[in-house]
Amino acid sequence: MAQTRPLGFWAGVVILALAVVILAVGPILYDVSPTEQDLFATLQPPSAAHPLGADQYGRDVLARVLHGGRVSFLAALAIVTVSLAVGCVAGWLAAHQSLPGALLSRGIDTLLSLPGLIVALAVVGALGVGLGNLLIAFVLVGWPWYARIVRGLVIERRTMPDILAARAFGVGDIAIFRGHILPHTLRTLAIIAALDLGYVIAGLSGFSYLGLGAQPPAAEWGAMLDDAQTYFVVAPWLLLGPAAGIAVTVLATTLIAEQVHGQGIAR
Amino acid sequence: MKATALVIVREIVATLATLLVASVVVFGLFAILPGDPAVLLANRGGNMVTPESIAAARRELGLDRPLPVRYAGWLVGVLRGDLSRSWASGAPVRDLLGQRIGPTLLLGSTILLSGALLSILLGGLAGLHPNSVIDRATRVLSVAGSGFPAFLLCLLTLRFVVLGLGRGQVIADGTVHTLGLPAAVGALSLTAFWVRPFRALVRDALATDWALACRARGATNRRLLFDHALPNALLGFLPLLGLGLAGVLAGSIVIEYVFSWPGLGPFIIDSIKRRDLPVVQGFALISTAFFVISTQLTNRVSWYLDPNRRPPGGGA
Repeated sequence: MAQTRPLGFWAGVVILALAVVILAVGPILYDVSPTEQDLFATLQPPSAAHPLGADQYGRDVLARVLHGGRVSFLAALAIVTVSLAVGCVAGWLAAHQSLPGALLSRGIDTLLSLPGLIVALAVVGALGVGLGNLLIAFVLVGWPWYARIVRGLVIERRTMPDILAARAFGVGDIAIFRGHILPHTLRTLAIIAALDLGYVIAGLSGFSYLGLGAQPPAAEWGAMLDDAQTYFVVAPWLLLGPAAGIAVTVLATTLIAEQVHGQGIAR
Repeated sequence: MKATALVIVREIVATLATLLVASVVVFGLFAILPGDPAVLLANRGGNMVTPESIAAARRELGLDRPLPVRYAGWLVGVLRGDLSRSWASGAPVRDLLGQRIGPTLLLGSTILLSGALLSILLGGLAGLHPNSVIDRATRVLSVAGSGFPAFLLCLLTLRFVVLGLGRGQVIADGTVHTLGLPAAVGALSLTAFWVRPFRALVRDALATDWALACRARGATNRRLLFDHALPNALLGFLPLLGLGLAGVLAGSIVIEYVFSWPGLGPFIIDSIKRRDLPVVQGFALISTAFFVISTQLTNRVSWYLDPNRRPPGGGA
């Protein structure tokens, strides 16, 4: 870890960390309800009472941005965690030199050759719109990527001396994976998962903007932009909060990704 | 000659196998629905749901038959071009999608062409002159643009270019006159993804021994770029172009939606919202098939042009 990383990488890390802190602490410090309507304040421009303005129902936009950001981050975290867990198990199984392993490998590769956007749309189309179904769709699209990475890492490490030695001492298959393979791959997987988090947040907001994810009155950045579009002629400031939230998250992720990809760690 | 024919047959079989898996995925997705699609169908148009109407809907959907039989029947229908009928309008799904595919292909191919040209132009110049203004500009473009959601870019364009500057239309009507803005947004997103990889390919080509030899013989920058670096870089660029081609049909759904482009995008999103399952299923099938065929085709072309890229043990 002695290598120096350029400024952009650290800027990305600091921005993401700040975003997490703000979303964690923000709603506590700024104790305003994101769903309480004040019909005397509809479509108000930013003011002392409503720092980012108020939407068409007079709901406070800053409160909605903070709560919506929480929803996006937590949803993305759930998606990445589940995809990673499923991908780890599937990738490990697929790395086995047996017929089931080969079949699973083939299945993973085939799933990866299907277009993710369309599969996600089809899943939401089949299950119905809503944040819960959107999470299922993202996990279904996401896990094969992790499975392929894990499979590659397992195959790469399979012939390492420590694993050959462990095998010779009769250490079990699962114990080898837990004790000798997972610890070595954890750093790579963590970086990939962290990057994925940013892209998943952007993807979730896109689906919610289309009306396929979080449903009203839930505050979510994409869903807020969908609302804001209706009024963006008379109240363009409604775009500001959620757009900035998405843009900053994605920019920070890209800044980190630039550096990581340069080192050939991520996909 | 015989061997070549054999390889071609094998490649076709491999593509067909992938398509078959895709069809199972698409069919399975809509067959294992939680809840009863018969109820959904019986309820269409706000009809009263009665035990009789559910039973009728079951028969209409063929839900009384076992799953493999339903799949086989469905696949045969699909191969004959029958994508069943929309629950919302009762019109054949094939016709509904067919009416809207023209504008989508127009927008998609415009985005692909202009995005590819822009990437090649900017990436080539940036690769030829590292650390120049253009090089730095492409870097900023790729960092700022490659993860930036297209829908947000569209939204900001609509508000600040169309409404703010009065350029272009809020609601595009699908003709060439309104093509400009949606295509520009799409091409910009694509360029943000492609320009740095293409620059890297040009840099790699220029860093080879033969490039040095050309320089030593006094080749000009221009000649070096056009005669030597670009053809090699384009070869490496082909897989990315293949992904772009695969996205022509369904890659700009979101852009279409924001600009109300009268293509497949807004129609599919609306169909998902009103639970018009046959339309969603038909679209998923067609666009997946298009995606698979175009990526596989590009791979074959790239293997044909450059034997080094062939997978070990396979290919022509």
